Amino acid sequence: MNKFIALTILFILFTLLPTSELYAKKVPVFIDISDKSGIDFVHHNGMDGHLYFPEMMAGGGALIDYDQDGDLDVYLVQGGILAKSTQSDSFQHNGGHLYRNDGISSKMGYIKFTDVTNKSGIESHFYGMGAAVGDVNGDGWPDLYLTNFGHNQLWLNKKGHFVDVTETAGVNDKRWSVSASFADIDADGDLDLYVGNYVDYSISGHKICKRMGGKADYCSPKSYFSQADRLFENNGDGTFRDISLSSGITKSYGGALGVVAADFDKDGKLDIYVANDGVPNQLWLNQGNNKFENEALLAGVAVNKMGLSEASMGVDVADFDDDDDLDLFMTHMAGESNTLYVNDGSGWFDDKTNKATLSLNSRPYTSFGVVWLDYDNDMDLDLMIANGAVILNTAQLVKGIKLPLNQPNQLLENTGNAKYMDISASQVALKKDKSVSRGLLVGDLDNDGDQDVIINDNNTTPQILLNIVGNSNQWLGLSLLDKTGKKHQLGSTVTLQLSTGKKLVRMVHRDGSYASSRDPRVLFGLGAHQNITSIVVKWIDGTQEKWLDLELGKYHSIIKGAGVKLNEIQTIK
Amino acid sequence: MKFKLLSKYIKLKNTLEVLFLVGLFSANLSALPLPEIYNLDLKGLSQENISQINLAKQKIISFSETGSKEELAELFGQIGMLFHTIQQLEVAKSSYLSAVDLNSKEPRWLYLLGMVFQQDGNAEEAYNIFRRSFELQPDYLPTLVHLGNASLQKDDSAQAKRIFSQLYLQDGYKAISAEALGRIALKDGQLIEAINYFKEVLNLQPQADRVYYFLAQAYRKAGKKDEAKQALTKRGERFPHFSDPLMAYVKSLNISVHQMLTQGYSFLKAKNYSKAVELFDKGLQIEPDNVNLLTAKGLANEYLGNDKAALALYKKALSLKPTDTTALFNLAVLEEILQNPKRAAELYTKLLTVQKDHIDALAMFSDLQFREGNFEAASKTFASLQLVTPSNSQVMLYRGVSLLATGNCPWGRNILSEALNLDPANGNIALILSVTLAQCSDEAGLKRARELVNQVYASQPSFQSARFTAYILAYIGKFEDAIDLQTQAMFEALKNGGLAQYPDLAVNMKRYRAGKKPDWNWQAYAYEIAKSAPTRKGK
Repeated sequence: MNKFIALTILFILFTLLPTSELYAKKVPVFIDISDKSGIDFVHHNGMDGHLYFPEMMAGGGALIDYDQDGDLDVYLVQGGILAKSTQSDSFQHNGGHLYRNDGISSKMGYIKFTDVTNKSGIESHFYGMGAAVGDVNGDGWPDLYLTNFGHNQLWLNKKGHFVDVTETAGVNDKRWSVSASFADIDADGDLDLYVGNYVDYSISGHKICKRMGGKADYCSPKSYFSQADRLFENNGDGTFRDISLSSGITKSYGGALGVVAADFDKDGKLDIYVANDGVPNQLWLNQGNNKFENEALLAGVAVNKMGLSEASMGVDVADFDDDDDLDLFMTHMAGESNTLYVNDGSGWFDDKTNKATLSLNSRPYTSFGVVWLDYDNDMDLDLMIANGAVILNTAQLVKGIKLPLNQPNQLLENTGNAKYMDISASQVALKKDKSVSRGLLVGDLDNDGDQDVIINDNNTTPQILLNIVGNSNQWLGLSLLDKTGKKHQLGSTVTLQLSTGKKLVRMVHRDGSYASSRDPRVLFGLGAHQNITSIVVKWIDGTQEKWLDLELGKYHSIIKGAGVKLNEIQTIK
Repeated sequence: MKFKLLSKYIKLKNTLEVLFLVGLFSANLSALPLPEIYNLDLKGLSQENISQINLAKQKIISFSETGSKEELAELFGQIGMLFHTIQQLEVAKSSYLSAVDLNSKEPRWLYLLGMVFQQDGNAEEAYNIFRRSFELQPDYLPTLVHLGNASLQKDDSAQAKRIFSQLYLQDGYKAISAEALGRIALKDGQLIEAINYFKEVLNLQPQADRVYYFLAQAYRKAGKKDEAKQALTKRGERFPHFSDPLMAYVKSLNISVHQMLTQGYSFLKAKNYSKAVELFDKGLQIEPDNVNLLTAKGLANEYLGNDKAALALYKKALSLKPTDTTALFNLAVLEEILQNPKRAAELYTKLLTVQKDHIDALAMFSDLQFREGNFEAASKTFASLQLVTPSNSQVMLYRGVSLLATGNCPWGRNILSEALNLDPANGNIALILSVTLAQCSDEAGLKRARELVNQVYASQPSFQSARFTAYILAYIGKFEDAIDLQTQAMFEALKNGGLAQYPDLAVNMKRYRAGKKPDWNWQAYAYEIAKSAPTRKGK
């Protein structure tokens, strides 16, 4: 009961204040319901003093409505024991966990989750790194691809029960994979799969790295060879063929940690952007016929504006400046800044990190998961960043902290004019220096019209952060679905036009962040606007349709073919 | 009292960062009157550096009671430089701040403090500090360079342009200014101007190859995609050089053995072997029994052709540390170069008992065994190498052929199948696998062999694809087609060094003409693909 009162007070306080004063008044955006949510997951990284490389890189997770009941369930990847063996690598684990969203508990007042891992059929056999979600066979049930330090796994969702189809589907990859993306690269209506692979590390080939003072520390990726990524084309039935070589994506590679698919050059075809750790990133521009060319250097997204490669971990894509093209935000190592690449509309980018005041506030942290989200539904895209070091922090070590890599997470407010302000200090729920955060999953867990957050922290419990401010502003939620009304149309974009003429563009995607999969629904924050003029959807096959008269403050299913068709060459007005 | 007096000058801007740098506190912490930030773990530095730092600390302690503010400021500045050179920037920052507090008229400490802030990415602070330094010493032009760069970082293009335009007129600063002016022009969309500036930099300092990236960006924006792509092929990591005596002095203070080793290796990489030896010698003067330096000097001597000296240095290193893997490896390779494979093999074996997963040693030793025809041993060493590089299809290929050369067709086939799964576009693996499928598989295997050779020949008609396709065709009795392809293979062989190196071609041609199944000698083939012995050039 007290919690209801507290929430009510916070809500009243929030509604009385303009958004810009929220952080000044230290109004919490999120409440931490980690210990009340029913998610009893504890991540185990398997650390035993050897400083094995994978233990500090894991892990991510996925928001997946696996039972198709309209709310987001949660899958969190698990690590395990990384044991040294004379013959081969061996792993012990207790597997990732799937939690069913049971909606808001009337007793608690919060959403409640139940562990359904055993019933779900999922048995992850390897040291988990990340997860990607996509309906690979078009049956309307989202499937789950797990990236591992070890063989990856594809779990086919058969009406809420998962079956391991990795081998029959032809998507096994025993390399160390971190992030993956489902995307319809050939626009044939089924989801293809890009798998980002990291380095050629094995426990038997483990190296010992040292820092000044001669003390052992985690190695950098430069101590190992990079591994090529993989691209699998869907045969249309949920089985795949490996087109890594013929597509050209193995021509260059380098320790991939983040992957996003989007049409960066607006030629109607989905391209793939790969964030690499310490070497130039790749922008695989789709040439058609399943061929790709890496144009990252030319496009200005391989290295930062000083021509330097950075240790890229996470990545997100969005039209943050509302100019109808897709921009990129990358997370990096402490000492480097995170980097904002702004698209000029043609698929060529400029590093505008400094201009957006995103440099200084990111330099102290090593950042992994990152998501562009409109946390306060004020119509612009803010940034949430999950941080955690990769070099042992001596002060924390001295204090006896078992995994001395703790760093605070960050929430950055878009203050307009393409600038950001770090408002983390006002947010108690961001656990200052208490966690080693990696995967960042964002979605509307309680379907109340604002974006909630789950952070999978390394070697401890996850953070479940419920947004308590966003839905006080107006909003509109959309699920962009295929003709059957079952399958999310990843890669499609939707343009919302306000009566003022202002347009907001959002893309449907689950990929990005770090080793994680997000809510595939589009959520428009609308501030004080009480009506909109229209929405126009550009589907992945290039066709466009318009919808009018959508009721605000709720989610709608936007089904392909049900809108008013626009001539393909007609510009959106 | 002393502690209180000193700590007054220590600005600890960020408690967390300071704590990060505290390190494992030494046992006599309470005995030191300097704040904890100065109590770093200095292992890994040269004795000389450690002595200098300790001496500087002692001087500060003693001067804190008797010295003037200026003298104490000087001491804080000096110790700041020592920490700056070993990249302990928080301690350096703290020291410079103390120096500036004690003597605000000294431009050096402001300049160096600005450098630390700039390295931290704090352009605003850096700008203000460089400005103060410049006001005190306007003739020290490097300050202007950094002032300009800080302006650029702050997004103040107009100010940056003013600064670099002024600097452009000064001798020795044209290249660095042109580079900055080019970037400003690029940012402002003045593309022709930008291109001209970048070209000027490359004309003045061709080694400043990072400028090619900026040039490519300018071309790109000007719509000159081909020129942009061309420029990107030349892109490197080096910025234009400008003279900065103060920073050069700071860098020269780093006399750690590690630094000498690193610098020496840079010279080795740049093929300046004499300079490398000079640096290694300098390091050896500080630490005469440093195994890493002895080994590095050995390598430099090898490149200079002084094999005798190299052998002696490696042996001395090993006498000091018999298990040193680098010395063992370098000596082993040198023995191979000197055509002593037996001694090389002994050394590799020893090295691999010290570190069984030493990738380079496994690679070199397996190649040596393969080249020497010791295929059984080679197959085992390749297996060990495969364990540590599980995704390397080349290792699998050689492991497979080693097994085939020992007569173990089924295992060779299995390994090659795995290699092809990993690297499906590798024509060589596909071709070799096809022969194993013909030799030790069933009908389905033979069918697969045909598919493989057809696939490879169709996509890459070459000597090898013709040779292997002919083999498979003959194996299944299609002799006419086999003869055609064998003729093509022989023609290609003639063009590339003659038939003598591929005895199977003539032998099998006769067999095909006689309608006989082909003959294949795996050992002969293994010798054919064995990698040549290492040379000094390739080391």
